[in-house]
Amino acid sequence: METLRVLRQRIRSVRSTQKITRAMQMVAGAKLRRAQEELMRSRPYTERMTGIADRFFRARPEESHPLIAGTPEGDGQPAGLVLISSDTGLCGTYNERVALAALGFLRENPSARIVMIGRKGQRILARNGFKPVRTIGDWGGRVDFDRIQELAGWLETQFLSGEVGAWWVATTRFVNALKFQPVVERFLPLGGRPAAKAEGAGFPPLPEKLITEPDPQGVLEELLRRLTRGRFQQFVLEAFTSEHSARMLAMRGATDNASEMIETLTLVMNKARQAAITKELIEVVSGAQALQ
Amino acid sequence: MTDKSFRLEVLTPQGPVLSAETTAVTAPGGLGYLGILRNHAPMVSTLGPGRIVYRDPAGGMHQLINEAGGLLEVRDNEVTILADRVGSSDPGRRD
Repeated sequence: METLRVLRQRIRSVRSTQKITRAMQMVAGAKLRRAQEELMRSRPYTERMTGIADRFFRARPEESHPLIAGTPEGDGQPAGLVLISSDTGLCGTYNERVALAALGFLRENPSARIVMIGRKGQRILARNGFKPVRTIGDWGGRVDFDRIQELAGWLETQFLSGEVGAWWVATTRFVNALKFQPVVERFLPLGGRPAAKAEGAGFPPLPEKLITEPDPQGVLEELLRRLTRGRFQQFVLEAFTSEHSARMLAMRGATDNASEMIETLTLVMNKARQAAITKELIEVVSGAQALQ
Repeated sequence: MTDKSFRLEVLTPQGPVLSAETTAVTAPGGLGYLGILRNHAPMVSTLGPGRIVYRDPAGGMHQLINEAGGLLEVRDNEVTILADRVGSSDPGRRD
């Protein structure tokens, strides 16, 4: 029967789609695990660095730097926004959500310079009439530390030369494998001395003197260079981990939907087959009766 | 742990590299090589590329290569080195 064959074909095609989505789910799962490990491994470094910065600023409260307070040239200059999205799709609402957060920021800062990481976000911004000054479309969710450093250095240069008044980053915070949160956070200037909020928070008393080599300004430069790069790397790592998590969830949803569809189609097919058998039986029986 | 030992930690953005008890550390500071023993005063220093040499409590010498810049902090008998890239090399070799 015609419909029976059509139904069988549909089930076959849904089944092969399911195989693909299941494979993609597993690939995303493996990538998620790796990204999560990278995120965890980088955490001790970031924590130590923040600790050193904290102690340094408490021992040397007089030291300041444009990376903390902003540059005089950058005053009144447009802000900049770095949007971290994915290069490939099939990751549910991941890109839409972070782009929505970015668009909210851009509505308030229409003259902002935009730097794009990821092709998908760029497409969404283009649809809304925003053009990036720089686009990176080939990271593919893989973390390359050298390229992250290079980009962070470029952002820092733009900021220090006063081209951009402040850098913001639209990224996605990784909460856990099932949950992630798009955010827009300020990247540069780093803002109020990191130690200010720690005052009187039960920290051990300051060392009365802190030796700095070669000199406080030299240490500060190195410290801030590391702080900015570390912070930026954290933004990227969080976003990429969230991306893999989003893709895994989307693909799991697709696989489940395919299972449901196969079930429904099988039911319909069984009914059709039963109907065909019944019809044939009636034909045979009524044919026999006609002969009597 | 002997009364002369202290902690040495080396970390890079890619992850922790080393966490060990040591009795003496030599590191390539921004102004030249720094020698650090137990009870060193609190200090923060920049690091340049070069050898990080440390002695374990049993007296064995070990060596890491700091391949780029870095930052070193001494505090409460704990030395923390934040480096960009660290390579290891044969511990006993001197060239």
